[in-house]
Amino acid sequence: MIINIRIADANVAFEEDVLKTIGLGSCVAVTLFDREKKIGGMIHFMLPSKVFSKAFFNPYKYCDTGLSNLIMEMEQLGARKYRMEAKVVGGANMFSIFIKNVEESIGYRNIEMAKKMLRENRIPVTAEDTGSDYSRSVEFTIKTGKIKVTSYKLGEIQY
Amino acid sequence: MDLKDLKDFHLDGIKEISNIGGGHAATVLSQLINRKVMVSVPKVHIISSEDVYRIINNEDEIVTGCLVKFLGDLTGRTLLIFPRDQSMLLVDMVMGKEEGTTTILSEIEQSAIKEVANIVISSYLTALSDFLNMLILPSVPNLVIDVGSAVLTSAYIDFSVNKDIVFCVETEFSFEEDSQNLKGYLILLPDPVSLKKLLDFLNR
Repeated sequence: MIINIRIADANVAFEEDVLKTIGLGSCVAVTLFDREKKIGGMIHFMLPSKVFSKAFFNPYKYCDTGLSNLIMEMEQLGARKYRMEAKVVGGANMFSIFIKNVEESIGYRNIEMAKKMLRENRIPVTAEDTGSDYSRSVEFTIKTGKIKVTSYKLGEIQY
Repeated sequence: MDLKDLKDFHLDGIKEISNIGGGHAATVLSQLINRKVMVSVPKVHIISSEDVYRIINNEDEIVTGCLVKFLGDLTGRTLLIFPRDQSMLLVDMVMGKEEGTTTILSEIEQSAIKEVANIVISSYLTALSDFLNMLILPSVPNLVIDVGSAVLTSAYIDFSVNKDIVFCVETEFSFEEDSQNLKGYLILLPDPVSLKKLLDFLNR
């Protein structure tokens, strides 16, 4: 089954499933994979932390709340954190003429936050396709654990 | 200021102001490409930032998006979006080629699109500036060719102070002879301070 993940959303999938998300501009997608149990998860978040918002509605909008939630949900379904591996995609600085210093862009801060959280949770990052100034789409095939990153600029790349 | 406190009277006023800008922009665009351009009644959107991509119908398609920042008495951003196919038609019309000639968007085509965006957005903002009697200074456009939802979401989230709720005014352009429902969108994203100035103007 193909499961589509919208902006500020996450889902967990099993062996026969494909997790898919499109249009990662400054947003970032993190995929988590437990190879032994063949359980995969993906989140498409917009902002690094909930401190960016005055109101707090949707945990999957933010990296800090969303990624912890996703890890928890996967563990409830039988995955184990020590077996997980992660892939990080997205975090572009789309309007690079206006945001000259890339470190100020939301995309960059999203990537940094995702990597920091994965480090704290001792989940290794096995692949990364991030930064630059174009958007990406991701397809995560749980059976193989591979992701396919598609962009208008570079076409298809497998990780 | 709380967006929930906005009254119908305010929303109608903002639509009316935007309508003046949209009318001017459509006239200019029409003169540029030498055909009739229809302009919709502007819509005000107040939505959660994760839903901002829903404003356009082409969220999964490749679009060309020109973002212009403006400074002065009013500050914010304006985004002009055309589906990629429509942009290529526009290039043909502006450069006086037969329709369907342009099939790729290389540097020269991109520069033509930027020029069109510059003229359309400037005339929109000039009309607003004249009507409100406020200074508005537009920047050069930043053109991106990418997936619709990414363009719209990044244009909002990378710049806005309030990252929860989007306030924007959307005007739609359509071309009379096109039966395929090809459309363009002009989206005005005022900063919260500027929105307050607009409301003060309406309250006078």
